[in-house]
Amino acid sequence: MAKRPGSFNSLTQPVRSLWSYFAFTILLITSFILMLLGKVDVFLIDNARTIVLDALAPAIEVAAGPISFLNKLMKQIGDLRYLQAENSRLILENQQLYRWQHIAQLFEAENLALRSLTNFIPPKDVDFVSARVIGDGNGVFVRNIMITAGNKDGLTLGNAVVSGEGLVGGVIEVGESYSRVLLITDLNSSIPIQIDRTRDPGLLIGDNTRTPRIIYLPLYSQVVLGDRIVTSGHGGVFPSGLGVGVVTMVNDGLISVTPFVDWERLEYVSILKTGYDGIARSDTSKLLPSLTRRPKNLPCPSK
Amino acid sequence: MNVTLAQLFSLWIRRSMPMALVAMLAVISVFSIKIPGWASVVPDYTSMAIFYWAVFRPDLQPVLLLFMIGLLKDIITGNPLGLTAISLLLLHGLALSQQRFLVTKPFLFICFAFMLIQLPISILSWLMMSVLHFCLIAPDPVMYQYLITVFSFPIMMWFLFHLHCYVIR
Repeated sequence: MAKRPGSFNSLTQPVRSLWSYFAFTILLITSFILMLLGKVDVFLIDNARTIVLDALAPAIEVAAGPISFLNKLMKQIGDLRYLQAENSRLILENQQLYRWQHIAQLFEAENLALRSLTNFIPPKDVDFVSARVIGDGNGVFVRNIMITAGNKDGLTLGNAVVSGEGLVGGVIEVGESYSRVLLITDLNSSIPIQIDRTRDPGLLIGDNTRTPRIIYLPLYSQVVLGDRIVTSGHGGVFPSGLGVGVVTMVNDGLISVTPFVDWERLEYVSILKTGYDGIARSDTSKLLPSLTRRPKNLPCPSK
Repeated sequence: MNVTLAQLFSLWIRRSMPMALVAMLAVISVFSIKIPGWASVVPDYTSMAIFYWAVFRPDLQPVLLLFMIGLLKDIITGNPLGLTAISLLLLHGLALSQQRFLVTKPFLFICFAFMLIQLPISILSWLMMSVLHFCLIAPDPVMYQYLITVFSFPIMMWFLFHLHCYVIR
């Protein structure tokens, strides 16, 4: 049967055949354009990402339940294997910790006495919220986590995220109820730190491996294995003194740090409400490069 | 022949199964099974499924949906927008170009073909990411993911094959 000349099908047919012919190329080019637009930090793209993330996060949260159960089960099986050895290690560690506790109490008393002597004004207590980790985008190119706290909980871009062990990372995307945290091991992360023993400042940069590196240390800085690394607070985004990790490799000027955080068991985190409150996206250039998404002048970790 | 509404609905469900599964796998890729001491690299489930459907049921895998799933995965995992979409589209295109040849081949041969086709895709995404960062990023995670993906492909293919035979038909 011949088609009616004005029917809808006859009108859309040329468009459809054109689409089926060029769809692949058009979509490939669109993907490239989106990638470039994302690179130049177009507000629309950032906004769209946050909206989609907020919409999908509840589904991810539900799906995270069984996965988290599976991870706990595997952890328990793993723990059972080393139960006896772990017990002996803990007894020994407990004895050492008692000694440290005694020293800490002495220092605390001394510190209080010195503070009252010098009229020291203590820094304000940092307000914080705690959230659950629902997804870890530990893909090939990124190291980030999704958490169940967002705008409504008072989170803003750049807030420091910590776990019981130490610094986890900084908030880079804030949705209404969910946010994304860039881990300190991510390629885009660079955090002002200092060596706890010598107070030498430097920059901790992630390279997507488990051991981020320290760069820009002062000349003749003496770093040794086992040195504790803490945040320096430079730039005013992260508070100073947050534990980051410990130096585990010093080789030809290359200093690697193993973070305190146990990435395998990261279930809950606390978000410290510091940083530039209510900062607008267009002002992110004022933030540290680590806290803006995909900075343009990122120091290359391979150098 | 009279086709009831229920039959039409059932057919529609069956035919949307491949893409629904690919979308689900894209969401799942945000979770990693944490084996202590094991690198947190998740196999690329989405690529495995896309390769399978491109070879066995390309009619049920429209490129527009692939593009959208790629964007979805980028948003969920925090990758630069468009990176996964490009990889998935290229994988689909390459697999489709060999579809007539591969569809009649035995199981192990298809696994080998996936190994060959996935390699340039992985290298390309690593290169694109390096270009976006203006420096060569460490290739180890890409290599590990490629190996994990290739070695888990036979299990995924077994699962998809059964889904294909008994559910989609």
